[in-house]
Amino acid sequence: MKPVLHSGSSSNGFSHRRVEKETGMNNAQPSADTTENGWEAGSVDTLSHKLLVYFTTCNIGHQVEVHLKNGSVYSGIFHAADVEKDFGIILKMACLMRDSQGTKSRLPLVSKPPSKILIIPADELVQVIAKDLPVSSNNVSDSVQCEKPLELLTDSLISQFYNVDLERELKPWVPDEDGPDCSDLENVFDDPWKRGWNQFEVNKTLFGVTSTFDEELYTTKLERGPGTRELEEQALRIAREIVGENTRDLHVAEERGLQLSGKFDIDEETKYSSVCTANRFDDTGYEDEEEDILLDCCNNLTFGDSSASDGKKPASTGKVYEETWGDSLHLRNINIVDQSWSNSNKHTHQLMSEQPSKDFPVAGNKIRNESQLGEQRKSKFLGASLYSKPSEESVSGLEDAPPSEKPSFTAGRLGLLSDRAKSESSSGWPGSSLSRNSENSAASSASNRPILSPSSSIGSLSSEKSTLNPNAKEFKLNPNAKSFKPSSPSAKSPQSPVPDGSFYYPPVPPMPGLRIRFGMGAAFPGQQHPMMYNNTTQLSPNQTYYSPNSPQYPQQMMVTQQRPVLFMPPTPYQPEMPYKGRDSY
Amino acid sequence: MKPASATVAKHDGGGEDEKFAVGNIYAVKLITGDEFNGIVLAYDSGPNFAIFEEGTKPKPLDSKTLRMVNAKYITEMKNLGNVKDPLAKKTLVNLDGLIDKENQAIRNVEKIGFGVTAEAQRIFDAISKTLPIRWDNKNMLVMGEVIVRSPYHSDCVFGGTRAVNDRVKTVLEQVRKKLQLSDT
Repeated sequence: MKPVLHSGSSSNGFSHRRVEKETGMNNAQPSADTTENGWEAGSVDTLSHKLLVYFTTCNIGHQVEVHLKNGSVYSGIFHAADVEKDFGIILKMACLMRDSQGTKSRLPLVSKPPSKILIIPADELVQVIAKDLPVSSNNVSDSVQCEKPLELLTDSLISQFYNVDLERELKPWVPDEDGPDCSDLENVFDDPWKRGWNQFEVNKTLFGVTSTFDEELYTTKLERGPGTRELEEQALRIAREIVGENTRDLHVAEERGLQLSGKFDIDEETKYSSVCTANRFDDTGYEDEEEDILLDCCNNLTFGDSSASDGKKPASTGKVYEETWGDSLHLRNINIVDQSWSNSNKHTHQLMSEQPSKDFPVAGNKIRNESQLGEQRKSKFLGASLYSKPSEESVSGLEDAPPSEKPSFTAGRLGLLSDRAKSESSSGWPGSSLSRNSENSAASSASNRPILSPSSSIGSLSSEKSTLNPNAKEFKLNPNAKSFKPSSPSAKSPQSPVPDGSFYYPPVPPMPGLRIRFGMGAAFPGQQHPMMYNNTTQLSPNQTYYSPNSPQYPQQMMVTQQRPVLFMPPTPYQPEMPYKGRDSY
Repeated sequence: MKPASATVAKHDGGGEDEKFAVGNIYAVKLITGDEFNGIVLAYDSGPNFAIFEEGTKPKPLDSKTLRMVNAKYITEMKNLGNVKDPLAKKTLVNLDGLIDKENQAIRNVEKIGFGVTAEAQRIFDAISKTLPIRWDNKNMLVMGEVIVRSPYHSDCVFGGTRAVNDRVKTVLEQVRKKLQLSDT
């Protein structure tokens, strides 16, 4: 097929393009009898003609410079060429760059706007220069001017932001001299206890909202009794130990203000980004074999241990504890260690990783999940196992206390940790007791500290843990566990009721025919709320309408326009979660 | 492996074809006085036009300077050697892409006002990022309705509905502020 490119302006713009396309495609397709670079061999005319057409096509859309016989030079966008006949060309938006007299200007002559279409007959045409022309269209698909297709496209480029060079000199910020002095804001990160700010009070003052927040709903309940102070002291001491202990984790060290590895050239990204890839196992003084054992334990737990010797598996579990639990649960580890030492010292020569071995099956199962602590605090297990060593040491402080008194010790201690009691701990609890253990002397003193360390040191390993929950405990019925009973409304009435005024009644727009069903908002314990019953009558939200027929449910109905109100069976069941806030249902 | 030039040489044809064998390097002189060195990429005896790649060594495929030369006006050609396979590999032409390229180029040229100040041009460019705008001689025509006359301040905005007019005014003010131009 012959490509026909008409140079006349009246030509159908599409026809030659279509033809050109076909020719172009032909060039691209492999055909028989090709040269080594794929061009079709054949008669001279065919091959060279096609080459000519191909390259001419590449020029389309490109800014070209056209030299004419009379010496004038035009610059414009190449539009078409008559490759069939004599190669006349068409330019669009052409400007005269240099006229025949030779006067030259780098920029288009300003006297004339660019011609929309410029037709140049072949006879006048000497040459057409296309600079930096992409001959292959593989990467000419960006919408930006195709100056350099492979150039990195920045946003400024794309948006053609011409003010890129208007750079300001950056100066560090200094506060205004006469600006407001909000010194109160500067101690934002101070201990919130010290600041004297009670958000609940403020809310009550400003908005009249009384909080029903009860921390015991969210964490284990603290048993406050005679031994509270000692518990607090213990907790604080342990907390300090944890915080002060050595760590290999870069981030933890940063938090604690420790200088980890003496490498001062760690860049900010490594320091402060969340993923620490390379820094886990640097040699900051830990024995390698410890690590191996740690890893082994990890693997054992994950993949099961074929050689389930009695020391191995529990040890691995214990280790995994250390890995996967946060600092607050570190205590549990101490529990385990404690018990093991109390019971047997056969393995004292081994690394501390295996010390939890003995008792672990006994103790570990009891304290797997924090969530189960709540159940277990009434049980004696913890207390019993925790204090199974009394025969050997004379422990001070709470160890002296009979186990029965401390059923919830562990839980309590955990709770205390969060309380941040300030009292000093009187006696070292596991540490000192262990050190007193003559049998454990060798291992204990050596590993008193290190017991704490690996747990935190492999905190960074936690990301390697398997998806299996190593803490998951097989279910064992615990008859002493406190069963969950939703409290009845009457039982809850002593709680501070949310005053009526705080409810948010969304305005009920008059919507004829709107049937609104009964709903129950989240529990308003112990209240007999006005019931809103809107069936056919339109009520303002504050009125109540007691239908003589329907029962008076102790529930609050929230009417919204957007969402359907759920119908819940009107039972005395009230979820324990107190209603917070004023969300409309 | 057949060299490309060998293929071409196979054909019948005048000396022109042999002269313009693909891959030959020449120092070309034209009647306009222009001179350059180039590698022959294509030649067709019909229109008698040759396409050279400027330079004596082939450049990467995405950036060649091509010269399409009317062979009639070549005064002198000095052979500088030849190159095998100036087109290293088979390439494709994406015609649609080229059409887009052309339209884009035309649009870009149209964006340049004729006979307007540089400041006016900057304002135009800034507004064109958010609103459709084009030149109408020395006026800016925004959204086909609103005319902004010289000197392109907020009080030079005419036309269009009230809402559109206000919008254009606001945009204009912001643009001026951002460009740190004088504010009147």
